[in-house]
Amino acid sequence: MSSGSTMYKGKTGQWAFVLHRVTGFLVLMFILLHVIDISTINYPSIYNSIHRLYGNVVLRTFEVGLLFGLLYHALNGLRVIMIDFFPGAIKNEKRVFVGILSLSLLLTVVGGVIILRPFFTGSVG
Amino acid sequence: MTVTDQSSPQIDSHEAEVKVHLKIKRYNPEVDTRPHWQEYDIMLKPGDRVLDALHAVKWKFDGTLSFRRSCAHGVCGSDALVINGENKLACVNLIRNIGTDLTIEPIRGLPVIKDLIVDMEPFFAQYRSVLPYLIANDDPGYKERLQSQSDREKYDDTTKCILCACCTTSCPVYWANDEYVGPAAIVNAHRFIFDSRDQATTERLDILNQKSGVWRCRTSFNCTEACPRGISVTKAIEEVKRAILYDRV
Repeated sequence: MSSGSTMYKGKTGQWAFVLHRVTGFLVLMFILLHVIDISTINYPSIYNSIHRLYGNVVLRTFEVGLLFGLLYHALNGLRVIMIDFFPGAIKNEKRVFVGILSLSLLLTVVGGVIILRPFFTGSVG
Repeated sequence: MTVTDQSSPQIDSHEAEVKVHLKIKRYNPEVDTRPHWQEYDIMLKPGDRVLDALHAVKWKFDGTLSFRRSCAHGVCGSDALVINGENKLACVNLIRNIGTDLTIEPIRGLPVIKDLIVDMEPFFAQYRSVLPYLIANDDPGYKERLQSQSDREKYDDTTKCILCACCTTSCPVYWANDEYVGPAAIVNAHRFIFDSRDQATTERLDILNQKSGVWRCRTSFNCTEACPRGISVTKAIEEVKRAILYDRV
């Protein structure tokens, strides 16, 4: 007999909230990483080797994830503002969530193709 | 431990009984260091309520099972529980609709006293903090305090609250921050803030404008989904936010 709790089965609003927190945290972590890599600008050899690393397939795939995080966090922020100011958005909150999630995924696919294209065209050195 | 009910079907039943599997979170502070799950198999009719399942366990198998219930008809708000992962009243949800596999836990965010009973005092303290009563200091004399139908309509939805705590204890912000006044208190403040006869709107908006007030709401809509009375809780909270922001009701 375990003593663990079960997951609360919230609907779209709960998952919109959770995903907003998770993507917000990941974007913050990336910004901190970015501050560190940019701070090496006065040491060209370190700076260049870090930025060459960003060009490999693993980190470019990570960038696609980052793009989704940024898009979702920004668009869901607009959704929350809509909920705050327009009663109509509350009535259609589920549809607005599906809309912004779909738009985030669509733009991630478009951006992902651009970011990862060098690996498909063989133009990566 | 699984206990099985061997009793025969009731003779007066027009519906065939079905086997219901219950998994209940138990906690006895005098014996247990932490909560544990206990399982039971019982026979119930599909038209029976989740509350009937709890009664069957308590009356037939284990009299130590503790839970609250009073009116048992969805009016008093005593038996709010987490049923299959969602806050619901045990007395208004039928086995037919919920299913025959039931996982039942106490509501979250409030201290557990025993089994399914939580200490509601923090919840009621938050409710009292918003001055949930009519404040009108002028003397109407021998006349009634009149109100138009459209003015009454403004807070009609929030008069339906039964203080069951389904909304407040479904809120992820409340689970993490017990300082947050919670959806139920805001709903009950809304009921008087938008009442044209009330004269303490400014006081209540000042209370809800504090850091433990409406601004902690992150619009997860769990409260609206959980309310057994169908109150649009998030909508009410947003109306209070806008009343504070625009300084008008």
